[in-house]
Amino acid sequence: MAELARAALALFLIWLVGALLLGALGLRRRRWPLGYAQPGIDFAAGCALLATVWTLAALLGWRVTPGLIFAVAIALAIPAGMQAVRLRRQSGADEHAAPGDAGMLRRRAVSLRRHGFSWATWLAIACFLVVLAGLLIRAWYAPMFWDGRYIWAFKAKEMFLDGRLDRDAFTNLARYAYSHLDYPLAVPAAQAWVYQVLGRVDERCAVLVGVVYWLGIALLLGSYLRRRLALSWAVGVSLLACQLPLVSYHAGGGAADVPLAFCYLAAAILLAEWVEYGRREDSVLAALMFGICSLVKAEGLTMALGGVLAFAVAWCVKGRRVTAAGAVLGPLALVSPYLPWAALRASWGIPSLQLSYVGSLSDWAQMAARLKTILHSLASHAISWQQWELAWVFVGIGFIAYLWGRGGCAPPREVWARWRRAPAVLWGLCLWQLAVYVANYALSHYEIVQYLNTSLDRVMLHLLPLAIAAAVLSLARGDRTPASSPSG
Amino acid sequence: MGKPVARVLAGLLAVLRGDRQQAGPAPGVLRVFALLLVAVWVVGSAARGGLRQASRAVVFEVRHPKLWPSLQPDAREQWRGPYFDALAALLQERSGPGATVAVVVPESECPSFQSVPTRLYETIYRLYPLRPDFFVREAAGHYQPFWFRSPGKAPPEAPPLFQHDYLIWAPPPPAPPSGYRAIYRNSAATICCRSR
Repeated sequence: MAELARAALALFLIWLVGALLLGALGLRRRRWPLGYAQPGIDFAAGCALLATVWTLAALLGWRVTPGLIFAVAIALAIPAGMQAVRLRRQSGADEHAAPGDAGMLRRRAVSLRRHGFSWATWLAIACFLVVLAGLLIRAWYAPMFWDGRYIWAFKAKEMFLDGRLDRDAFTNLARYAYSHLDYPLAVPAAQAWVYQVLGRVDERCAVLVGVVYWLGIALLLGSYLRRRLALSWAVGVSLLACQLPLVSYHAGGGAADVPLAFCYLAAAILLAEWVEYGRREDSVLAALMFGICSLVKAEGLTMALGGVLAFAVAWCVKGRRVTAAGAVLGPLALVSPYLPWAALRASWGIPSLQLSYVGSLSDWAQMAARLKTILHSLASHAISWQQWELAWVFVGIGFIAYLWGRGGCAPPREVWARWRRAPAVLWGLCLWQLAVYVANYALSHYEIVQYLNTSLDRVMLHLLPLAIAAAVLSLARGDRTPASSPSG
Repeated sequence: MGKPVARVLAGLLAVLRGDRQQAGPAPGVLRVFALLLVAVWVVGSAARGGLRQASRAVVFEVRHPKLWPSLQPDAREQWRGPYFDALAALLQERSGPGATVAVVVPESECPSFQSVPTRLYETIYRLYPLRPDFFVREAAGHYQPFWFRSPGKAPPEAPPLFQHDYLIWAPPPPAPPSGYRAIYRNSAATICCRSR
C-alpha cells in the first residue's frame, strides 16, 4: 500500500505542475461543462512539462532531480497565483455574462442539490466505478503490454536510472531500434517521475499514468456530451466507450495509446468549442493540446497537422475570426511542446524511424492489394465484439445521421446552423487521422497482415473517443446550454 | 428504402463539394435505431463484454490473475523461468554500470519481424544499465555478434565475445570457456565471469 500511496502522490504532483502551467498561461477556466474535465487536461499539460524539462536538461547537460521539478513548480506558482487573483476579480464582474465559469458551475451545483441524480445516473456511475476497480486490479496484477514495457517503460527506466537522457540509449539503433528512439517523452517522463517519487523501478505503478488518462477520457467525454444529452445518457455513453475490453486493456498496459486518444479528443473538442463559440482561450488551449499530441507519440505529429488544417478551414470557410493575439499565441502553443524534443533530435541525430518504414511509391498494383487488405481488416476489426463490442457500429450510424443532416433540402433553423459546426470539426479530424493511418499502412514495406495484427487495434483506439463524440453530436437533438456570447 | 439512401448520398456529395449549406437534424428513425443499438450494447456488455469482465475482475482477479484475455498475438509474455532467474543473479553481482555483458543465444533467436525476439528485449530491459551484446554460434563454431534492425546505418562495433566481463550462455555450454569461471548455473543459462 505504501507504493500505491507514493504513486498517487507522484500523479497528484504531475497534475499540480500541469495546473500551475495552465494557470500561469491563463488557460485554466472552470467553464461548464468542460470544467469537470479540467484535471485531465492539467495532467496532460503536466506530463508535457515534465518531458520538456527532461529534454531541456539533456540539451544543457543537467541531471533531472526531484528538486529541479519542484523548482519549476515553484517558479510557475507565482504567475499562476497572480492569474488566479485576476480571474477571480474578473469572474465577480461578469459572472452572469458567459456560459460556464464560476457562476454557471454554482447554478448547476444548486440545481443538482435540489433535484439530485436520477436512478439511471446512479446506475451508470456505479457501473463506472466497477469498471474502474476492475481496470485498477488488472493494471496492478497483469503483466504490461508489449509496447508499454519495451518502448515506454523502458525509456522511463533508463531516465530514472541514469537521471538524464542517455545519448547512447536514444541513438544506438543497432541495440535499441525496437524501442522507437524517436518516440517523444510525455509518457515516459511521467513514468520516470513516478519512479523518482517511489525511489525505485516498479512497473505496476508506472501503468497508473495510463489509468489517469483513461479517467480523463471518461470525464471529458461525459462532460462534453452533457451539453447535448441528459446527464444519465452522457455518463452512460462515456461508460460504454471506456468499458470496452480493448480500451481498458490498453489503459492498464503502460503504453501511450490511451494518453494519445485523450489528448486528441481534448484538442478536437476545444477546437470545436472555438468554432462554435469563438472564445480565444479555447483556440489557444486547443493548439496547446494538439502540440501535446505530438509530444505523446509520433502519430501525434499528423494529428497536430490535422489541427492546423482544421484551424485553417474554420478560419477560411466558416468565417471564424482570429484576433491578433490569437494569431500569435495559437501557433506558439502548437509548436512549443515539440520544439525542445525536435532540437534534441537534431542535436543528437535521433533518426525518424517512422519515415524509414515507408516503402516504394511506384508499385501501384502492390499498393492497391495492400489497400484492399487494410480496408477488409478495418471492417473486420470494427465489428469484432471481443474488441469493440458495438462501438464502431454506433459510430457508423452517427456518421450516416451526420450525412443525412447534410443532405437535407429544407432550410435549417438558426439553432442547427450553430451547433452543427462542432460535428463537422470532430468528423473532419477523425477522418483526417484515419486517412493518415490508411496511407501509412498502404505505403509501409512491412508484411501487411502482421503489421495490421499488431497495431490496428491501437490505431482505432486513438480515434474511438473522438468518433463516439462526433456520433453522439450527430444523433442528438440539440444544445442544452444557454446561448453564449463570444468573448475573444 | 431508396429515398433515405439518396439523402445520405446527397449529404456525402455536399461534404465532398464543400457546400456551406448548414445541416438539419438527424431523423427520428436513426435516433430510435441508435437507442436500440445502445440498449443491445449495454445488455451484451453486461452478458459477455467489458462490464462482465470488469465485474469478474473485481470478484475473482486477485485469485485468478490470468482472467483477462490476450488481445494481441505478441502482447503477453510471462517473464518467469530459469533464464530470467539468471538475469536477476547477474544484477545481484554488483558488477557496476561499466561492466560489459555478452549473451550467447541459439540461432533460432536471431530477430526477424515475423518472430519478435521478446526474450532478448526482456534481457535488455532487465539488465539496464548494463548493455548486453548478443552473439550467436554459427555452424562452424564461430561466434558472431548480431543486432536488431538498424535501417540505413551500419551496426556499431562490438568487442569480441571473449573480451566481455560477463558471458550469459543460453543454453549453457558444456564447460566454462578458458579465462572465465562459472558464477551461476541453472537449467536454462550459465553466467561466466572473466577471471581476474
